[in-house]
Amino acid sequence: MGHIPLYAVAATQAIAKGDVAELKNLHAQAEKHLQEYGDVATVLQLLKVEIAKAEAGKP
Amino acid sequence: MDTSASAPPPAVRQEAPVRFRRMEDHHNLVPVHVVWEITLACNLKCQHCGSRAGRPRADELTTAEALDLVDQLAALGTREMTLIGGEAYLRRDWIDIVRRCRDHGMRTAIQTGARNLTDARLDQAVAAGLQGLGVSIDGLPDLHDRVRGVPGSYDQAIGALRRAKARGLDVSVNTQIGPETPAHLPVLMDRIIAAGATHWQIQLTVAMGNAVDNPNLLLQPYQLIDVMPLLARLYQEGVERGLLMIVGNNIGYFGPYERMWRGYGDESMHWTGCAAGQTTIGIEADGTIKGCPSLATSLYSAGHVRDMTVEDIWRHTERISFGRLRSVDEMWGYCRTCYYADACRAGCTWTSESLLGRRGNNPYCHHRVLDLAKHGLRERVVKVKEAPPESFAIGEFALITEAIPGVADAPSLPPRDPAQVHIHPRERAAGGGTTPPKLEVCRGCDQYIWPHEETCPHCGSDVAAEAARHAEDTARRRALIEQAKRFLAGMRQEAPAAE
Repeated sequence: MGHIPLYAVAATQAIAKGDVAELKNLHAQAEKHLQEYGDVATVLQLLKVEIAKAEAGKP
Repeated sequence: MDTSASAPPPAVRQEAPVRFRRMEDHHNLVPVHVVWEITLACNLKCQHCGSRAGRPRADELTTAEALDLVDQLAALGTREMTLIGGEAYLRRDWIDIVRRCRDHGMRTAIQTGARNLTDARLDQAVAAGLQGLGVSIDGLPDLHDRVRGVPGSYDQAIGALRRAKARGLDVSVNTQIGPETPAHLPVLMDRIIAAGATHWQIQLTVAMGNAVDNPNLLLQPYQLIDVMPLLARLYQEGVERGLLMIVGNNIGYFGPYERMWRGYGDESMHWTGCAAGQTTIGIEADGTIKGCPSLATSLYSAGHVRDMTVEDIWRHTERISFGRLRSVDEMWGYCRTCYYADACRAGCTWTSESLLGRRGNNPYCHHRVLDLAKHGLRERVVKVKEAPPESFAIGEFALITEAIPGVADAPSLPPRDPAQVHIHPRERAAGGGTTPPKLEVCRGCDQYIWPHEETCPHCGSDVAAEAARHAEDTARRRALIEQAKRFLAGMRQEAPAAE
């Protein structure tokens, strides 16, 4: 980065970097997706159960 | 509205910020970032103001001189301009200066106390191309208004953040740390996030100008032992809430948090010494040029734009080039024998020289405070000489080393040999500059070490073995990151089609 003079405006183009920041960013994206669309694994399990129930009820 | 609960970390930006230094900037001595006091006129009465701002200087640059100065800086390669005061917008032609900077493609922002920063002023600035606005806020209302000398100034500062954000400006806050400030920081962070700030620059109040008159506003060096962990906690919280803490030049050095915040997570970035006069220029309103805006005028005035070109001052004057030429030999006290001496060069020149009257020894250092504490010692400063009434004037403080009250039987500080300090070889490029030293991180203790070390001088671990272990961890994390990216990218593509 270099010099951060003390009377200057903050370096507003700077962003958090590194693996931890990236992991947290991805974690936030995944949480957002979960909130908007739900959990694929849970939906998958429910689908399986409903398929099994529907097929079990066949004559 | 408090957006703290849902705000994600800032998105990944592909291009490096213009203020980031490239190798060729160091080699060719490019003044990448200029901080320009365009007027000393000010409508606040800050008790810690180093420049003793209030009335304009008697001979501030004319509009023609100011615009010519911008042209000269652009020719030297300046990429970013911070306009300060006093209060920058009290200069009548400040919009013309903003526009000229933008005409040259410079990233342009102002740092302000924001008193009477009206909508009309903001609208004019945005129309001229202003990109960023930093507001100085030193605590919650009671502390801020008292330190800034004007009741209601806190409310105006917070209001300015919101209004600037609404106009699309990049919005940041600068906070000076004195003895009363730390207790305010957690709540202040909540409030500036709510007001729209994305970046928060933290710095210690420095013993210059009005701050010498009010030494009660200066943190004692030993207090860093409590302040630094607080800052580290707030840094991490801020990253998760969309606020990036920027630690200023006098927050340091090489303590346990250096690798976390100096490069915002990029551990290859660490403190490399005061860069005054190497990639930074400071300008006073009368055209005086210095290597950094904060340095004492009496000691570091390198020339005047009415007498010489900026390029001649920048390339050929002794007072601006001190940082390019000095070595550990000018250092003294604890810093002279420190493990990091030749990488650190005693931190911020302004902070240490303003305090002790001589650069090269800086008690405001976390590494030093921790080391002294291990040996039952601490340092504090006491004013022994007032500062004269001039702008950027310094007084003098005595540095007192004493036993930490209540600590007994600590091992005494071992003798340290200046000859054992590692000297980094610096080759001067054809353009006159040098490459800063590059330290590595010991993965046994996460402290920076010189690259030649085989055994860590801090924790005694096998540097190569710890590096190999860390490489495995890194590879695993990177694989997970790539997997998560693919997964999320796939979901983004699938989600709209499913609706």
